[in-house]
Amino acid sequence: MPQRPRGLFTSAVPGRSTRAAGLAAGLILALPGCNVNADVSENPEQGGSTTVGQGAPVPGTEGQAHPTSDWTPDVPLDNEIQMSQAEKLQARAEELRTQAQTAGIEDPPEVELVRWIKPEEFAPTNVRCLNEAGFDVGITDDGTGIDSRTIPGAQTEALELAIYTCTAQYSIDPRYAHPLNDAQLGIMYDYLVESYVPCIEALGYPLAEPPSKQVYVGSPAMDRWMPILELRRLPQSQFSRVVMNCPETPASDVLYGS
Amino acid sequence: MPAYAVVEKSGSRSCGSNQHIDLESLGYGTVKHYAPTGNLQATYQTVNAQYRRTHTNQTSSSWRITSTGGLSNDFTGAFCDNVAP
Repeated sequence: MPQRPRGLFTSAVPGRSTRAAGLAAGLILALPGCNVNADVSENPEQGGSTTVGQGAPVPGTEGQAHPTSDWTPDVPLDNEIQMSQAEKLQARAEELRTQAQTAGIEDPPEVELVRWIKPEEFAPTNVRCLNEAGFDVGITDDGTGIDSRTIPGAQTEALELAIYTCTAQYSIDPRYAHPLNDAQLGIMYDYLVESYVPCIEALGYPLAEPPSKQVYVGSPAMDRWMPILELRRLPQSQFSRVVMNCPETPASDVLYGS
Repeated sequence: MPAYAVVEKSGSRSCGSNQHIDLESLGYGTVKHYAPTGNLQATYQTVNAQYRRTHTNQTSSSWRITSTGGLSNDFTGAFCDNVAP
């Protein structure tokens, strides 16, 4: 398995302070693909039974955003996906329509797009939006989602509407939701083999041999090799440590073009 | 969407002592994890197929996972996770 030295990962939140991961930090610093900036500590706020309302947001409960990788391929993507603004808005409308249906929002409001975001911006951007709307949500332990575990069930309907509104204001650019083409899948495979797998193994979790690139590229999306599935029964704290230290994809600009 | 994919999955789970329910999904689009069924625990937006896992403080509960894109039936559900001592 080829291994090349790569750079470090950085937080998806500009200007956010980060702390070095304590456990195995010395080992991680010397290995490719490992995130020394990730905060892998548990958030004590998230397990409690804090009563929350819809008043002022509580500062400091955002959690830690998922890190992004600065890995780059030897051969950059040369046929990046292009979508017109009209195509993007149509895809956004379809996603929002489905989101309203699955959330039980019968008469969804018209919401103006504030800006397109990258996938790695989803959690920090929408948590901030929801905090401003008065919901004391945070970022999930793995840094990738909106953690609403402290919101009482009686507020779920209001929360669903707020999530709809925030994700409509800050929608992931639909070009990132396009199925990956063969060139992108090749880049993804190289990233997994060169950076992601060594990162996980450096944390002490050996993984099975990867399939060939040809098999990987030719597999259906949900059957494609996904190393994290080998670790899905780890205790939560260990699982989160892996996810927070080892980004599952290269940066969006690398995989989709800038 | 592949034939084996679903857009929603639900069930109930009871765990032993010192165990909590974890929810897991492999899917894409807006993915939401609920436990109990009416309590939203976490929301993710995944591009392409990505695995997500949410730890709850429930020991016995109904659960539901929804998506706007699709979910793998094999890797979506709830399981019991040992609580750290």
